Amino acid sequence: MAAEFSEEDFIVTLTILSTVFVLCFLGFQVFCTPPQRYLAMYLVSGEGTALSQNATSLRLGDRLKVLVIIENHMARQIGVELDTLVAGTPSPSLAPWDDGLRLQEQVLSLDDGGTSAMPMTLAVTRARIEGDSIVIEEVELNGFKIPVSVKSDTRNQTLRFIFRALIWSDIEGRYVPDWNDGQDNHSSWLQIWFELLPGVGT
Amino acid sequence: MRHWRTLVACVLITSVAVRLVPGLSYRQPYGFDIYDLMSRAVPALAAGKFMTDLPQGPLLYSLLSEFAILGGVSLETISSFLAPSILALSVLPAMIYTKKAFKDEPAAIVSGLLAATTNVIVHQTGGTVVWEGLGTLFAGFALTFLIQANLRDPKAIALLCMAVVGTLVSHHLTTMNVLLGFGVAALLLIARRGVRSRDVYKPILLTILLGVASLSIWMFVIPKYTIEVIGLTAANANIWTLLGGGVLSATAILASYRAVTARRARELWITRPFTLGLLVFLASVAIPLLLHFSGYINAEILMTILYLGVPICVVYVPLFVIGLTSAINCRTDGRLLTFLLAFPTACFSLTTFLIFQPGLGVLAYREVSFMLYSLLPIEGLGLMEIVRRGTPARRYIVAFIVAYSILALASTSYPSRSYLMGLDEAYRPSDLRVSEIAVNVIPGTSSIDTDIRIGNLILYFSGREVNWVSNVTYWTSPGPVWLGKSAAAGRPLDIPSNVSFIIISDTMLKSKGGIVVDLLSRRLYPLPDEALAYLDRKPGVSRIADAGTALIFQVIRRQDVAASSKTKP
Repeated sequence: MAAEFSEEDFIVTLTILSTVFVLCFLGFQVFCTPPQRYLAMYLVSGEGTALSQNATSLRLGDRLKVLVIIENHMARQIGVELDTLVAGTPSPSLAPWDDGLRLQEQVLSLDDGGTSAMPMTLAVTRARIEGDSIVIEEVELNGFKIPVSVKSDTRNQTLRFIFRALIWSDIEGRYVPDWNDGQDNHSSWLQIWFELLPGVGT
Repeated sequence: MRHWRTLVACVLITSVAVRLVPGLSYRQPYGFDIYDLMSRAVPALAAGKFMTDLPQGPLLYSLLSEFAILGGVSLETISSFLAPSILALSVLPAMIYTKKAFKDEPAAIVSGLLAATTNVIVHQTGGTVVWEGLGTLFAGFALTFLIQANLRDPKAIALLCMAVVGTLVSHHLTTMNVLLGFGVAALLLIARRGVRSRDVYKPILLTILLGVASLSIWMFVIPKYTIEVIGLTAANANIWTLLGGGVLSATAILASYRAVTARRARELWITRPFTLGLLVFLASVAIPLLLHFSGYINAEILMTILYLGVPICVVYVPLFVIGLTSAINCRTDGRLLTFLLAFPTACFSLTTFLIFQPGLGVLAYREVSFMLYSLLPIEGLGLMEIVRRGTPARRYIVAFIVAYSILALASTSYPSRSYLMGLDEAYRPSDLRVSEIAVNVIPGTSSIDTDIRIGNLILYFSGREVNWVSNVTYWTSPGPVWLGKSAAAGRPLDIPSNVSFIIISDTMLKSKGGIVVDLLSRRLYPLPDEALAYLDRKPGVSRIADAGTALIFQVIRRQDVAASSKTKP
């Protein structure tokens, strides 16, 4: 065959080989690129916009109203546990939620493409001053008063509400913090810093 | 050739297939600039007219909008599938150009295959939907009509003018290449024939006409960008960079002149194509390594050059040497050879000039694609010369080697961020969603800090109605704010008072091999992971959205601090 391999045979062979190679490359890329799966979580004020500058400055009993929205883009139905925590200044050596106190856990199920919006009304109902710090003794969440003990580092803006989503894992048989987007592991959490205005604890 | 049409169809299929790889893989538009481009078309779909300037050239914006209106499909679908397929047609002028130049159909098919698969050409002509793609399509036809007309046939000259106008309204840098190409062609013709020759005045006239038309459009129709870029380039230049760029450009033009006037070229390498290929391979690896170890280029640039440059060098340099030698020895018409060499010479000159300009070296890659594109006839001739000189058995082997080389070229068309200096051209759905959330929940007047990559997304989702405080697109540069400055400093800095929201993506983080994409004329730096930890722990900085790969932080300042800063003079 090679003895009769003319110039035209060459260009036909080259073109067909190149086309086949490129089509294989296309197929390989398409089948080897996993679609990204993800969980989106965000919070908005009661009006559906970002929090205003003064929304997080609270006096005792002032209510902070937010919607925590979770969207499922994981290409499957998922079970989610949404933990709400209150915490002080994070320790550099710990994850931001590790020193938080759990106020509530809500469990929900989300279909693929589904969205859940959870209204949260948060208020500090009892606190005291301890040196330069504030110690929160009671928090109200959606009308339920929960005793806590969380100490701020200083008086201003050093307290947090944290919302953390855990995903049900069939393998581990429990809610786990990490989910995989097809390539990397991620965890989903939000936090709002708030300050208690003067007058607290007096 | 018996199978001409079938082979042309195969080349077109190949071209479309390579350009549809990202669209079919990610099922959404691909390319760093695509959302900026679409953001200017979005208001046109809603309001019936463009609300902003149309930088680089208005044609691509108009086409995208018209396809969306007439086809009733979304801009995303058009940018993912239709636009890449249309820009894939840029292989057609490459084939016709070669066929007209050498009357050699197999060489034309080789040119088409190379145009269809060469990584930087793919990137600029449909792999990413950018203005260069349309500009190259028209410029390819301009080169074809230039060869066909030989500046004698009035009909072909009219077609040439139409193609040149098409280039002009498509893309400014491609127009600059064509303009310079005409200029270099005129120079070479004057050098060969003398200033009084009849052949000379037409390219000079074309150069002047195109120059005047370009300046008019850039000054009066799209006034903001092109002239501004030229002004900034000139402002950054100094006598040494101008001199260095000028000397190298003159060297390239002189080399072309020698090639055009040579009576016979030495056939040293024609008989040893594989040795030449091997030497080029070694040189293309060794030279960047030497530059790296001497401290001239960093590891990221080295990776990019090796990944993209080595396959290009190994294929293009030997074929060019052999093709040019063959064209000279076949006594190709001097005027034809002048036109064939004028455009790559012009691009090479502009490339060297850009490399020598402080901060603009990174833009030189945009020149490379058109330089390679205009070299295609000589490349096609080079390969066919090797094949014609070889035995049938060798032809058989060469077909496989070249096909593998073409696969290597095609498969490097979409480099990951580790081979692209940290830049990620693929937008992930989570990045898109977080940007959409940002536009939906953040009031339009609140200032947002993010890099150009995510900035393009918020411009798109908001129809460019967003207060992106660090907007550094198109040289109108307020400059980087917290993200860019923290990245440049290598540590988190204090958040300036004019930043209310910060959007961060994984593609900016050092640990993920990313960079904060700033104006390309500046050096780009990764965001240290400490910056993310800083935001997570900084009192007053709330984390209000999280999609795994992208986050939104809101900076809420203490009321007493905000009040006292307001009372300060």
